[in-house]
Amino acid sequence: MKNFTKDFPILNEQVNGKQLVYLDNGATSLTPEPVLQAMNEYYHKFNANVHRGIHSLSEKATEKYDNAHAKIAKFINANSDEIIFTRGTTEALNLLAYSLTNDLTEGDEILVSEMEHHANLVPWQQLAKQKGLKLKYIKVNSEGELDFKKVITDKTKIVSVTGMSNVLGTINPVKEIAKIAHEHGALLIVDAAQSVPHLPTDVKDLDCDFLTFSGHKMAGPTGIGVLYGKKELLDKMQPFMYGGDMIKEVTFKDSTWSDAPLKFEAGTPSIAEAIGLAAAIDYLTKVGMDWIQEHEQEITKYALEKLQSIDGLTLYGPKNSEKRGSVFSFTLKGIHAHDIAEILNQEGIAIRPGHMCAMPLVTQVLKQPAVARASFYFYNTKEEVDKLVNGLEECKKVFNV
Amino acid sequence: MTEEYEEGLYRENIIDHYKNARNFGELKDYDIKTKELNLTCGDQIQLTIKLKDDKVSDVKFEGAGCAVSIASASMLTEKIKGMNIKQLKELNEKDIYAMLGIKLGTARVNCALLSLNTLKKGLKEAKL
Repeated sequence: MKNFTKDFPILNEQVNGKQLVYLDNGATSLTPEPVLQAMNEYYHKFNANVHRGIHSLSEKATEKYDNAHAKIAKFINANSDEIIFTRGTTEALNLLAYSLTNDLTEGDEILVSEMEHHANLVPWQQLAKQKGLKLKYIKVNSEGELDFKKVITDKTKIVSVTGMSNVLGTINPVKEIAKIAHEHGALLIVDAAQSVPHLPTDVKDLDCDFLTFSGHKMAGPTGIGVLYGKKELLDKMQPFMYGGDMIKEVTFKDSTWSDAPLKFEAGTPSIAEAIGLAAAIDYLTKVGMDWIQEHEQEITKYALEKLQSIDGLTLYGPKNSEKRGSVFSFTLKGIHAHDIAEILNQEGIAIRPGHMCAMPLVTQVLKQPAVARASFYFYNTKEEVDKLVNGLEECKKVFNV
Repeated sequence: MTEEYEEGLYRENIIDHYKNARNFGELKDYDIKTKELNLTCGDQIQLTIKLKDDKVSDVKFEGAGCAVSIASASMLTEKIKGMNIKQLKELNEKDIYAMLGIKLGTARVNCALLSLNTLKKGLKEAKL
């Protein structure tokens, strides 16, 4: 059993007079000391802009920033020049939506799933509307899994699915989906915001064409995200944002672009945050992604058992612990999700009520006005599952159900 | 532990109004019918109001939502029966907080005010 309170002092904080039980990792994860120190070091020791200066501070900043690209690449088995820094997964997916749809024609089809986060739904929806493209949805079945086998056709140009649902916890078989997509000449994008932090990820093994994730969901800072893309695809794509750094040459008449990844990194980057993300990856590597996966599997098995034993609780997503991560969305009969969250908060337990940025999934597929979600990460324990369960029993007492 | 809640947000009257909402349903004969959402937590309220001689002669509400939003709507329908249009228009946030009688954090203010916002929307739509 590993103890993380030294690295995450916030775990010792009291909330409403109770020990903090942080179960909102699907929204954002906690950030360990080494990451904060790495970011502070940038501001204290080599606070300079990258790629521009000759002076020593700028050289050092550039070195650290470029190393961050390399470190992230190694973490997911990609090449450095296939890693683009963005502000987050949402920006990465917007980049892909704007850039890739430039090369599509009216009537071409884009396929996303019913379980997507708004970041992987709304951009495609809106660009399809603007450009006369067809947006289709892979259905979620009653087990919380995707019915993807027959839905990709030769008309499909882009398939974009989540690696792990932030609502249902479903781990999608993206390697298999990639194979089928490629057989039909379609690109496969993986929204890995929820999966990269929790599962060892190898983009070459998955053979996905693009993959996106966010720093703040994997013990890194906010304001930094990653877009991975196969080099030959990035080379063909049009830039998303224009400005400094992404250009090779600019005259008053026209401009030429840098090679990828710089082509997609306009303006001064989030330098401290990129360095922070690299430190987060060092930290996760030290803890061990295999250990993280195993530990969370144990928590998942335990939580599945305990949560399903609560009378009146409906748990959404796969009930098989092998098919899901440690994200648990549920409803309690007779008590609204918002009230559950309020009462749990009085007990120091942080969960999230609402739609989890997946309004169509929650309201139209699960047919609920809102759900409550408890999402775990590697520093959470089985004791915290027990505290959650006790808190839910307390909710039932307050509402007399 | 449950006693703590009785002094706080989930006082007995809130729970009572939530579980036994007054005037729950839909009027078939109405002068005002309107719906409003609180998107932050998935609450929605529909109000149907019948007027007679410029006063509220009957009112019903339907909806799904958290205890605060439902209790607020239930209490509001009781409060506005017999009120005239002028009095309805003068209702404000302070009246709602006094009506609920509980201390609200900023996150729950929208829940409490949903009923009032729905009423205001209905008045505006009916051009009253």
